[in-house]
Order: sequence, then structure tokens, then C-alpha cells
Amino acid sequence: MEILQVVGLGLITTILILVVKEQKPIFAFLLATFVGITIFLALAGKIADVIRILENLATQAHVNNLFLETILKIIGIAYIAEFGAQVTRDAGQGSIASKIELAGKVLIMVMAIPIITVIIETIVSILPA
Amino acid sequence: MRHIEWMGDWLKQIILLVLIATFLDMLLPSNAMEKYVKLVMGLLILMAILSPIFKLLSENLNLTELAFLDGSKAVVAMPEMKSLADINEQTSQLKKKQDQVIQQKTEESMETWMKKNIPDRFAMEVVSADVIAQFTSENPHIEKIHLVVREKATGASAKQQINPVQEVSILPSNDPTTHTESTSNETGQKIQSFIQQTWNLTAEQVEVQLE
Repeated sequence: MEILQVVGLGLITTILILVVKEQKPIFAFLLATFVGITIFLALAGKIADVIRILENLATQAHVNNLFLETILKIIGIAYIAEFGAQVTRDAGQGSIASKIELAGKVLIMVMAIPIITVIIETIVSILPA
Repeated sequence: MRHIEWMGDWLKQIILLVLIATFLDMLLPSNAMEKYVKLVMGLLILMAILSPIFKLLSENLNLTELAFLDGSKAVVAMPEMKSLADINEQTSQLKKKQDQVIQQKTEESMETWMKKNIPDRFAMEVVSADVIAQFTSENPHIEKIHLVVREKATGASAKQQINPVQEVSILPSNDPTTHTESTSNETGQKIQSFIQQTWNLTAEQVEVQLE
């Protein structure tokens, strides 16, 4: 999906939401969510291209698979959490949005746990007992 | 070269990780996650930088393996690092070969020396010289010298060869065959003793044959 299409879709949706919001706020919310998901999915293909290129580069440079896997998982978690949080915030549920964000942060930190353990173990074994 | 290659791989890995991290920063949706993602990326890069140390620690300092590390793979089979026994075997083989070459060279040089010197001293021509030497590292010695000589084809003898029958029949008192034989025997012995003296050999070791 090209940028004009995305912007056009966004503008139309905004106008429609403004129109509908007065009568049926719930439909406005659904519309916003749906369009948001559409744009997100449309962009997923492009993101996939970028990720594929990164993967190619990484395999060429013999980057450890663990590293790349972790990075990609972090990207995914960040995007999805962000998306969910924004949708809920749009619906006026700021507290739920912040919970989603929290979940995202925690999961990202969980990704880091194996790395942190390895580094700490190494440091401990290097240091004289 | 392997070390440089391996180091290049390591650097490539780090550089690529940093590039991907930068890229990721741009892709990230908003500030909320940024801190965390940056932290994890930093840890990943740190781990990539430290990966040689991890290997060093996890491989119990096996030096031969350490010397042949390759990229992110733990250890690549190294191109046949030979064992000490193999090296010793090769050494003894090389020594044997060397001895053989020395023996050959000695034989050759002795042969050429004889071919050069005997005609100068005895008016004889060396048809063939054969030196058999035994070159072990403990006791190098000459086993046998086999020499075939004949009278030098001087002007007179050449004439004799052209027309030997006539001369023999005309002058029986000055019989060339018996004469030459006796002189040849003498010369042969002279040559034999000369060679014996030159290389300090026994009479059995030197064999002079006349043609």
C-alpha cells in the first residue's frame, strides 16, 4: 500500500468517524480499530521485506541466529503492544493501554533474560573467586 | 590467515548488529518501548563483542581448538594438525632421504674425481667408475670401488688398434699384447694403491679392472 492510499484511507476514516461519533460512538471506535488494523496489515508486507533483507545480511555476516531471532521478536512485540495500546487509548481506556504497554515491556525484558544471565555468568567466572 | 579471517567475521557480526540496531530504532513505533528495546539491543551487541571470551571460557582453554576458531561456529575441523608421532616419522624419513642424497652426491663426486685424476696420472682412461657407499648417520663409509680402465688411446695405440695384427706378426719380440698386459697389470695395481691411499681403503674394497 502506497503512502497516498494510506493517507487517503486515514483521512476518509477520520471524516467518517467525526460524522458517526455524534450518533454512535461505538461504531466510530470500531471503524477506527478496523482501519488501523488494515493499515497495519498492509504495512506488514513491507516490514517483511525489510526483515528479510536484514536476515540475509545477518546470515551472510555469520551473525548468531540467537541474536537475530531476539531482535525480530523484540520488533514484533513492540509493534503489537504499541498498536494495542493505541487502540485502547483511542477508546478512552488509558489504564488498559498502559497495562498493554507494561506487558510489552515485560515481554521484551524477558527476551533479554538469557542474554543477561550469560553475561553475568561470564563476568562472575572471569572475576577471581 | 585463519585468525584474521575469524576476526573479520567477528567484526562483521558486530558491525551488522549495530546497523540492525540503528535500523530498528527507526522502525520502532514510539518512545514508550524505546528504552527497553535499546537496552536489549545493547545487551545483544555486548554479547556479540564478548563472544570470543564466552568461547574461551566454555572450551576449557583447549589451545589447539582455540587457535582454529572460525566465526560463530564453535570449532571447525582444522586441516590435519599432525601428531607428534607423525612429525617424528616424517623427520626420520627426511633424514633417510637426506642420507641417500648425500650418498649419491658423494658417489658421483668420487666417480668424477677418479675419471679426472686417473687419466692425468697413469695415462689410462677410465671407462667406468662405480662407487658404492653406505651412508648411515652413525657410520658413513665406502663399501666398494669398482673401476674399469683401459689404456689411453694415444696416437701410437690408435695406430695399433687400426692395424694390430700386422704389427704382432711382424715383430713378435716386441709383442704388444703381452707387453701391454704386463704394464696394464702394473698400472692397475698402481691405480689400486693410489685409490687406496687417497681414501684410506683396504685392498678388497678397491677393484680395478683392465680392458
